[in-house]
Amino acid sequence: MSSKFNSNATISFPDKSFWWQKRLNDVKSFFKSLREHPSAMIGGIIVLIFILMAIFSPFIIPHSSTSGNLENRLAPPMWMEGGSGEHILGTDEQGIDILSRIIHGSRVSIVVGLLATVTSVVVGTTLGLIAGYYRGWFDNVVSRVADIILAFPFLIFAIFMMAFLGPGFMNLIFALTFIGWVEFFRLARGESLVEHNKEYVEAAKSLGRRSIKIMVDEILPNIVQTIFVLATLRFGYMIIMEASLSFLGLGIQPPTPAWGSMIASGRDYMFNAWWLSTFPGLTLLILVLSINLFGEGLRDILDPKMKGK
Amino acid sequence: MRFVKIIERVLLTIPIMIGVALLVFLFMRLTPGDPVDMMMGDAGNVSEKEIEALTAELNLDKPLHVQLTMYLSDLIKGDLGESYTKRKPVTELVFETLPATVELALAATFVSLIIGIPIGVISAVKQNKLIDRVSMGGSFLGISMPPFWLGIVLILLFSVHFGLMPVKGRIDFGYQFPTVTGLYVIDSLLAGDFEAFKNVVKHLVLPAVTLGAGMGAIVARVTRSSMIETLRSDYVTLARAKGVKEWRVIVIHALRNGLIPVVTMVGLEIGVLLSGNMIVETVFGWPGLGRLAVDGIFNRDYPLVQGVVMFYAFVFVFANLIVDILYTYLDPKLKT
Repeated sequence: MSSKFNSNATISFPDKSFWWQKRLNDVKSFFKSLREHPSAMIGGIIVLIFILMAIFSPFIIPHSSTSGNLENRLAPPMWMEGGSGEHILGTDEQGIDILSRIIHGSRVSIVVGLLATVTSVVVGTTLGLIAGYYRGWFDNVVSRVADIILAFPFLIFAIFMMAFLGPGFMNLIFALTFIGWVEFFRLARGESLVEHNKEYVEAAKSLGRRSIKIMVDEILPNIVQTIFVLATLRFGYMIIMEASLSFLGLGIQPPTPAWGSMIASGRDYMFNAWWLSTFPGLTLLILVLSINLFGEGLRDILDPKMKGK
Repeated sequence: MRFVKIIERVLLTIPIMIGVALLVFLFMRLTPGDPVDMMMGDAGNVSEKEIEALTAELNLDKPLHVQLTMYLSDLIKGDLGESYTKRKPVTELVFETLPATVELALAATFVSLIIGIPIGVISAVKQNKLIDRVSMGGSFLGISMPPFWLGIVLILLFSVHFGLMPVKGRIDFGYQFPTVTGLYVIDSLLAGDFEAFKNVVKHLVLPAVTLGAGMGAIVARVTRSSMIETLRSDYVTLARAKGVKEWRVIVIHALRNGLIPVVTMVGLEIGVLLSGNMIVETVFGWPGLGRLAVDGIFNRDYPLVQGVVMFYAFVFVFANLIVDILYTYLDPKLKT
């Protein structure tokens, strides 16, 4: 270790530790208020369980999720006549264990939902900060594109985009992001526009601070919490979008298990095997409900201004 | 002043529509897969000449900017091209299927208002009581519900298990009445055919509930929060002080203002209704615009898909316009 490094470290150390202390206190008080919102807490815990399930799915599925025994096709759930403990939720038309497919299918929902949300946040916030800060032609162009995208409802746009792009994982993320960034863009742009004219930004500018530093250090912190709340609620929405697209056959394709396509293929066996469509949909509902509960609780805690909106 | 604002707003729709048209054009050309190959694909042996002829017929041999100009000028004339698979003008197909979609959308709106407004009002009046919590929990469930799954569960319950409702379609075979409006509910009544009317309504109930449930949940929430605010306002207090009966205060005095946000919301949800349509029409085999679009997507019928996109865009932009204009009339604060 050179002496230079050490001296640097001692100078910056108190500052850094203070920052961490503050963040730690923030996190502590956040968990404290979370405890006062039992529904948000339950939602959060269930979402966490789903995420763990997605990560460890190869280790916890009781049977294969892609191949089954055709002789044992359409076996009912264990509590029904003819069902067995071997297949708790029964089997599908190819004899594949439904519980295993549902557990494995959580990967698609969680990964697509998370990725689409994160890319939307990053793209939207970046463009919004820049557009609101510099305004001018860039702001005009991006804002008009946003208007056009907002002229459509989310799902229709996604359906048509997938129709043109063709099904597949990357196309799905692209299509969902292509529409998802707009809300975050509007949020960041609005904040950037307002803060841009405030005295402290003027002061920072005249002190010669770089614009990017002003955007990231001064403007962004004002909206981080709102972005976080909005992103949580959008996460649930993205999951429904993915399932809807997969249901229509435009999203993730079989044999990869996805809840949407499981529900779709179960439709053909509605009259003799109701469990095919019912269970994947129920799982989807529970996950989205939990995300929304968590998101709404988060909103009450972090962003009381948004309450009721 | 208001008039100028409305004109301004109307003019604003033009660049948006042009933008949508450009975007659709761009996507069509960027899409992998040559439409000529698609069309010739089923024909088996085709000669170079035939391919050239078809390329020329579809104007795909012209430079891109010429294609764009032709496409835009056709659009302005209201010509959306011809469907590959159905061999019919897209405009004709759209207007054939539109009544079914409109009927379903209207029925769904009706369902959502009939469920949403009373729940919202009761919740607002009994704020934080048990009934409020239960109904808000229910609306939360409605918002999180994936509509396509709700449709399937309803079919499983009411059609398969109880056998009360038909599984799919708009009407059973064997009923006939003259088409006047294209909405079967109204047409069958006009014809005085009560049996047909019953059959039509039976077919309509499940899709309408599926499509309207999510919206009803949102209506309930919006009604509740707006009614809570209105019930606290001075004029409601005054009405109470004058000794007006409580139910009159709620229904006559408060509801009128409390419903303004609901009107806006319903207008804006038209878009969501139509997009939900694509899913719900697929689930219930409903012969509407959404199914037409989904079929077009699976048959790679690009002119059809392109035409339906443009039509949808027009409807959404127009609906937003109407809502904005209505809003300037409804909200006194905007009267400047």
